[in-house]
Amino acid sequence: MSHTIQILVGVSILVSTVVIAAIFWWVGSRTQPQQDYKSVTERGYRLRREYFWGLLIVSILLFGVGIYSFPYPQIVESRVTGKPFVVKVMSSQFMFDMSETEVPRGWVRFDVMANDVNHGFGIYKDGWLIAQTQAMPDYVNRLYVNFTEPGKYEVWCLEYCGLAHHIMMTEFEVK
Amino acid sequence: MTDSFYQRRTAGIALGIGAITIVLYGATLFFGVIARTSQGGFIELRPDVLYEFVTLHSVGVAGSLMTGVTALMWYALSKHVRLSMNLMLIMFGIIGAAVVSLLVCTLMGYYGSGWTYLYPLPFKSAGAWDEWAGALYLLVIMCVIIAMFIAWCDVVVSCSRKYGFASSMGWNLIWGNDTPDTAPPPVVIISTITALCGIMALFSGSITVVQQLIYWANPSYYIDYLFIKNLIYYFGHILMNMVMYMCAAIVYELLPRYAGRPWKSNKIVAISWNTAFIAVTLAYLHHLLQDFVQPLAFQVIGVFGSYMAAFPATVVTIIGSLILVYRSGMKWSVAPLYFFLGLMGWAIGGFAAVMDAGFNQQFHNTMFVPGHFHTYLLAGASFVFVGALYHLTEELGGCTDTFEDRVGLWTWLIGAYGVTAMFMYSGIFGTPRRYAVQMPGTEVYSTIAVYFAWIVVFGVTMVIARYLTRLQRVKPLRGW
Ligand code: HEM
Ligand SMILES: [Cu+2]
Repeated sequence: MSHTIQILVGVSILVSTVVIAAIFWWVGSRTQPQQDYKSVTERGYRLRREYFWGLLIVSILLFGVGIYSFPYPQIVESRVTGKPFVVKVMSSQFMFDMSETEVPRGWVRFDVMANDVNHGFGIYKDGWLIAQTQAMPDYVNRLYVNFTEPGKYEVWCLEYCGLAHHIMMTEFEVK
Repeated sequence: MTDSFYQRRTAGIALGIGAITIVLYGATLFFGVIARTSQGGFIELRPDVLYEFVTLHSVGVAGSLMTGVTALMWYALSKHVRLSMNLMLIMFGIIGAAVVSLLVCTLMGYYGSGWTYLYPLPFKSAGAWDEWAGALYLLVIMCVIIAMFIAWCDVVVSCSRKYGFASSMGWNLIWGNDTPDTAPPPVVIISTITALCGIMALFSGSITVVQQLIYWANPSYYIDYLFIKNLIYYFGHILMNMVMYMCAAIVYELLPRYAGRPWKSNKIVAISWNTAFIAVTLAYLHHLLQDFVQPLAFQVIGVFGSYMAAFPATVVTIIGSLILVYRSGMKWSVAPLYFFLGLMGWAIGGFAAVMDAGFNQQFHNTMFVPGHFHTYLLAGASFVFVGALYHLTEELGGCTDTFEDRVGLWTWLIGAYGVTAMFMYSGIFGTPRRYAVQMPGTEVYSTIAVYFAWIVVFGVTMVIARYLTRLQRVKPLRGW
């Protein structure tokens, strides 16, 4: 499923907000009665140490997952099987010019370029953002996508490029 | 100059700048609300107008918040070091020039790039705005750079003069040459570190402005697209983060007065703020995670720095503040409540920011981004700003809280979280940011957000009215 991360992050945002608000509420409603600062700090510092280690472990895990799922060609190329189908994309205010509008299933490489200002190349399937890269003059960003599902895909501009940025889009089909 | 005269005058300047900036804040926030109302389908702005409004909104609110927070940090510092009042007034004058230019270039010049001004958009708008408007916008940025340069240099110089540079940066604490009793207070250490970190970013920002102005004069002038993008994000990222850090400096100084407990500098505080300096600097790279041509090592560092930034902020500052108030016996008047809730907004928005950096492919340039930064600006830094203004009127005018003060606070809070939640969830479901008309199928989030946005307008209006009322109780600040 291509949008697992969105769902997980969506849930984690909700959970973290509730937890953080609960902690603030819990502490904030316990300013009375007064206690000796020293005893509070002793307990607080102990909790803080535990929190530090917890945060460290969670951060290392998430960092690892993030790096593993990096979309960059240097990393993805090692996973690509067979010769990828190549699509050249030229972005300009306010359209995408794609060398192919039908691509086969399997690995596709988009060579994304721009010839005026910065744009973004975001691939959507059924409203979900499944992959993206920037489009920048003078540079070629190579985006690999492994298409497993046939059907219609949309491309929307994901870097603000001027007045018609919000209607800068195109479509292609995976056969 | 006697001490009490100096204290009175710095307070007067902070109160005055606070009054002007909070009104500007409210006015430019309003343009964002109008933009959201249009995105939500209640009104229909032409795309060019909407993008102008978003540009005016973002630079206006963020700029006035930064100016106000700078003045208040400066006030918090003035209890410990002697800062220059003339420099503060000059700084404020330059901001005034920036505000006028911003109004002209957006409302009269149709300029609408958003805050980012990525090269060469200011001069290649496909006919949306004239080149002079792009150049004027760059001058707005230059004014902000010069103003902040003056303010931050004054901080570094004044603190170093009194405590020495190494002590002001907290290094002597780390090396054991200072003890918590001899070290400068946290507000000094945090302000100095923030100022230095900010000054470095200002250099980067000024290069981006000058390069683009040269390009304007001579279109054959070559600028590397990737390089200038790095500089722009380094500048913008640090500048906005420094607003939050200056807020933290204010909280370290003012919250203890309510808690009735000391919040002293120690080795941990010093280490944490120096870590924050490094982390926030590295973290700017997360703005370029979708530029696949950026060196891979930078991408790894960008994600690493973003996780790293969470450590000093939460482990030391946020938990420190929780320990500070827990069983302190304090009563929650409105001012400390704003500080406390401001830190909460920082934590909540910060978590989302780290997720954005960690899983950027799914969130880059979606509404998730405005989602997290509105959380720690609208429900974080802004609260500290307002809290400090309330504190000043309480301290100098003996003002007590009324029912309206609490209504202002809670409506603002509820509205803010509604606004940010809708931004975030629309981003999670793929809505791109900076779309005058929302992507088909994603309009509903904007529509719901509009209701909350107007609740914020109500809350902010209430707060501004109350602040201006409270201000009148502050005894005439003789001597200025
Ligand atoms: C009720 C309060 C607010 C509302 C309804 C609001 C609304 C908006 C909207 C609709 C956008 C454009 C979103 C898009 O990308 O499509 C935006 C962008 C932005 N806002 Fe706000 N805003 C509010 C408060 C604030 C505050 C308090 C700040 C800063 C202190 C702020 C800073 C910004 C910035 C920096 C941007 C980015 C502009 C860009 O994309 O270049 N906003 N806001
Ligand atoms: Cu575009």
